[in-house]
Amino acid sequence: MVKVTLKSAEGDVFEVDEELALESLMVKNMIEDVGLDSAISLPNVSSTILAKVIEYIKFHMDAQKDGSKKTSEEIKAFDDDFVNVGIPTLFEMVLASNYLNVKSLLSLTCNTVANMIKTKPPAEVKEMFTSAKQAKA
Amino acid sequence: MESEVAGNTPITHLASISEALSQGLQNLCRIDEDRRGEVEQRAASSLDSEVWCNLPEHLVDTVLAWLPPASLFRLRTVCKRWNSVVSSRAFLDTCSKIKSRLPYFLMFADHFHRRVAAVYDVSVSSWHLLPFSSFMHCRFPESFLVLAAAGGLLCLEGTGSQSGTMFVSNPITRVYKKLPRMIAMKSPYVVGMVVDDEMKSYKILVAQDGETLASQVYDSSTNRWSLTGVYHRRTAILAGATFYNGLLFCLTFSPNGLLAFDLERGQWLEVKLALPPSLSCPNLMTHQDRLLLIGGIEELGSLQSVHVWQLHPTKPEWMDVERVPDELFKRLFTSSSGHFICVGQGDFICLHEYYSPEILMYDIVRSSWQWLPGCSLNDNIEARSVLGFAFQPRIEAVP
Repeated sequence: MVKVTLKSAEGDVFEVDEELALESLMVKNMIEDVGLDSAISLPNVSSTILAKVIEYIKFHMDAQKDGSKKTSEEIKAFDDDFVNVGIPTLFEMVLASNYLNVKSLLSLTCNTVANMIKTKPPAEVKEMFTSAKQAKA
Repeated sequence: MESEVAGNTPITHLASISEALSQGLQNLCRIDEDRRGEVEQRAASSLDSEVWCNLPEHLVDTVLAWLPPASLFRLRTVCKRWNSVVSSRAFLDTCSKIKSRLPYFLMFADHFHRRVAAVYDVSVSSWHLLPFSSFMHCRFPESFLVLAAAGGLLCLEGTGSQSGTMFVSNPITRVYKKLPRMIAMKSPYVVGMVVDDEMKSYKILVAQDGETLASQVYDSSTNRWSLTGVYHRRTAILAGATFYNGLLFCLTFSPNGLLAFDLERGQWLEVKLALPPSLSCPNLMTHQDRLLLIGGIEELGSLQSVHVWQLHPTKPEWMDVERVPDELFKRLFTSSSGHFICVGQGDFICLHEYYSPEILMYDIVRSSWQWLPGCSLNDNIEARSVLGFAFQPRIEAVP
């Protein structure tokens, strides 16, 4: 199995299967451009978030493989648990899945944010999405 | 062509979608507004607000695209940009990329008196009013029946003075289109509707059963009806058409089982697959890559249980995968008629006895059952008709 080396913002190195790395369309494009010889540098993604993204892709790749015994209930439970994180982490995951171009994770995280605000009154959502500086201006 | 779409040029068409959106969604909110007190939660912590204001605009738009329509409308007032973005073409494109949305179950309606229906919105666990009044064209029928649903669209037929006229409508935006007259048939009825997301088009299958089965298909990309697919056997179509593996499956009394219509080739195919014995009130649905059959089992004319079966992946047989638990079954069927409606969409199945306000919902993925909250519209309706259709609310769907 061909390995790909990913380097996080902090310079930590993650060695992953090429198959997994290609799930990120951004990494896929980088591999096509520069090849596999050197580490792929991801200056916008922290080690914590990169580890989470790898965990997400790995679970879903395994779940999709033939012979996987994962039920849709287990997949749903994994996703629910995966986004059950603090607001700053969720925010970082939205940015990372967009940057790395992992469409299913971007959908999951954006849907989670939408679920957070869907029943909130507009004034409260306004407070969430406008900074203190913008509000004063 | 008899068809009419609100607005003739692409630009005015978009303008009308945006207008329709604001008006349609405004009405959609009524029940939701009443509930706002219940859902009001504590203000976001300062930490939360410092985070989300740094989200780039295009990602804010992606978040907004995931909102259910009623919430989207309510949150338009957050700022000017949110207000304008939701009717932009780019935003509608983002919405169209969302593969599946939590469904709306269209359960109660008063078409004849108030042209209004109630939909249960799974995403916010509450009911909305869905008005069908014509606000862009006066030629929308005074009264109508819903015949099929697919994607974000409903297929309607006018009654009374507009009897026999068919319409396709996006009930969220209230943009609709009158279909050209179909090719004359003795007693045609709509079997099913299929939306092609890629082509942004849809097809409606109409059949006339009896000694032979004749059918015609409306294709929105050509805006035409064409006669297609004759099946030379005595046929009685029951109900429950669903799109699965490129075929439109429908339950039949005769032959006892299933027929499938190949929309590409315009052919009927007999499916060698017997239905479970003593089946009552059956319906079909597609869940992920499975074909499900929902129905009751009768014994000496009385309903004993309600089951969900799955088509076996390799063998031509139905596997019993779920049944309504006894306690819930007792509460669901209070009368002796045992006639019920079941309708499935996405991950959910709703069940209820005819004319009973109690609706039971099954979450297929979580294998859990729950009773839906009461629908306030239900009490106000004099001549209540029970529909049993479900659709995905899609503001971008154009009839």
